[in-house]
Amino acid sequence: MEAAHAEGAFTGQAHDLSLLLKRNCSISPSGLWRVFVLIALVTLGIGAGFACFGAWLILPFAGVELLVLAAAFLVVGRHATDCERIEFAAGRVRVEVRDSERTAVHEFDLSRAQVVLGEGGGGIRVWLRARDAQLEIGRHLDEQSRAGLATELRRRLHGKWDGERKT
Amino acid sequence: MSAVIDSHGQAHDHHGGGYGGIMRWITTTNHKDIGTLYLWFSFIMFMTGGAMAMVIRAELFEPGLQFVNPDFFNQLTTMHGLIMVFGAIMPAFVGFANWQIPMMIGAPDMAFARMNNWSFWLLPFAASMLMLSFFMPGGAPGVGWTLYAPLTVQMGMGMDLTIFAIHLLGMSSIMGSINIITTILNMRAPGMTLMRMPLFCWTWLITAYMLLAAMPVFAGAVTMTLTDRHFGTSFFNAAGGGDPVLYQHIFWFFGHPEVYIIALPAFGVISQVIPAFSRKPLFGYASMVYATSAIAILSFMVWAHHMYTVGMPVTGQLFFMYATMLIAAPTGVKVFNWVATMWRGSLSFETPMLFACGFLFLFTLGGFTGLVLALVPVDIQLQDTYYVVAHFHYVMVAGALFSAFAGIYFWLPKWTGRMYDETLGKWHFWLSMIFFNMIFFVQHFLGLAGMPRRIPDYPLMFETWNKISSIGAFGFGLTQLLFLYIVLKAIRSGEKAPQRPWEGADSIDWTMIPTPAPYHTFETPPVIK
Repeated sequence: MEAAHAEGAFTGQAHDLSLLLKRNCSISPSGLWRVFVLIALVTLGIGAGFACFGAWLILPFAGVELLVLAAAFLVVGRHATDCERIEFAAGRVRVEVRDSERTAVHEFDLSRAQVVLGEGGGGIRVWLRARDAQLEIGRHLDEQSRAGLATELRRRLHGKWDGERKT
Repeated sequence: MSAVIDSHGQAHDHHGGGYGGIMRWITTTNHKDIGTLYLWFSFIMFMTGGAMAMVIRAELFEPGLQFVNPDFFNQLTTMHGLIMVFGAIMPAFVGFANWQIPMMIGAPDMAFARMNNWSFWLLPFAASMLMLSFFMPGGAPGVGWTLYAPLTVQMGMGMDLTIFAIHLLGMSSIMGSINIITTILNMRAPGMTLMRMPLFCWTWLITAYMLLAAMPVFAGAVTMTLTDRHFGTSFFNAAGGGDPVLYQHIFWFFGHPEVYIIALPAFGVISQVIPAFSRKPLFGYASMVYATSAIAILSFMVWAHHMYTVGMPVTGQLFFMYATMLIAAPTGVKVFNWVATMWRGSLSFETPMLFACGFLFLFTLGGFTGLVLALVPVDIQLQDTYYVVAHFHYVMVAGALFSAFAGIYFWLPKWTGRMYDETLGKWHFWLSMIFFNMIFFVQHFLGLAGMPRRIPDYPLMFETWNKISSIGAFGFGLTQLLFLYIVLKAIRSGEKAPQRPWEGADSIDWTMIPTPAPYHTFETPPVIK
């Protein structure tokens, strides 16, 4: 269960836009890592201490617990910095997509770019399309916000409704 | 553009897998459903453990053996302790955590919703195993809830069931803790910094850390007991070169933090209730956070004060005595802050506030007798007497249970959209208060007079106080049926609750969420200004 956070600003001229869409993660992956190290040191320290007095069977339980905790933090942390940065500048639409540790940059010609709305597994989905290239955007948003994003982008791009629906 | 949105709204449209009836509850991943399950489970276990207490008190009503044989009496005291600690009190506060933490930090649910479901559903199986141990050859373990070696090595199959039940309970606690830590650290709404969280969330965050540190210790202890019983090891079996005192060290290294694992969430509940009915912000919020952390850290350094009589060097006794007394400092900070919150507040005494005040008064008494027991020369006299029984029931019942009642009355309107019957609620409080003190205050006198705990028979000199204690116990037990009636009445036909029935309640679960809380909340996380 995650929530997402969109922040950014429409700046300058009508076609200038800088928008950051990201998950709502209130701790950074490095912060999670620090928490894990702290818990691991305490838990393993206690287990090791008792092992020194012969009660070594605490250590395996501490180890299993830390593995589960590490897995949980990994699941959360590896997508904590996922985001989409959408920028309109110098006649181009630049979309930077960060997914786990991968970062991909997609650029579209501003005059040819279209915003396409469609229906998908998660309800309304939004694509940015130019000629034969297309990219899904707003994946971190809920349905209502995706629709709002599409409307805003269309207004910025062409100031008109292109009416196209993708199924 | 600024917006705060949920990226996975579709993921929790059907928390019960689209099922209705019982399958909805079995498959649900909604934090509110799971919170409700925890609370009802806790109440069932509370009544089960309470029924055992009734038999214990009936047996102790007068000298001689009346209803049960000594062996079964020991089984009852053991299972009463295990069920109340692990089946009733701990799940009750996990229930509060499930309901309240996401709503208090602006999260749509717990971080790992399916794991949350699993955490709960381990509990009924664990409880069943505990109860089934009564029907095993030799019955349930009659060793006390501390499960001391070498008695545990000599018990029948019921001991093995108990060990496996403890493992299941531990797994549930660890998964719950991981969920709570991840939720609080990672899913707070924008603007909800750690130092702006309601104190209930802070106490649970620290409690979850403590559980992660303490649970492997207990799991290891009972596993070593198991291997001593069946696999030829001699960790604690002196006959094979093992050390039974090592078990006591291990158990209490877990057992003392366990007291605070129960108490800290109770502190969190009280820290929500008192400001609401004082119509003032909590006095000394930051100091409350630091005091809670200090209590948690110190709780791992005082375990051997339970073991003065098993023998340890004088320097060890002195260390554990002073370390134990040191806990009074951060605890005193908390009590001072609660009282200071009430000072010159616009106080009103609805049922949650009554229970909070009852908690404050009685928990402080329990803490004070804890200080008495921390003193080595005194403890050596009072070890294993009814003074100890009285002390820890003041902490567990008046501390944890009263705060749980305060929390239920406080949040019931938010959960159900209905108000409870205030008059009956007040009856519940006053009867609980009177009967509680009838049971346990007099046990101080019994302990000071030398009556040992865990005995089904006693000399005639202890009869009067035991009679009073038993009458109090029967009254307290019946009073909890009144509590059940109040809750059911509220759910079925209570008056419709207003949005904020408590005008002083100002956390976001009251100010930003409708009453009753809808099935899904904060799908769009709020921005906290």
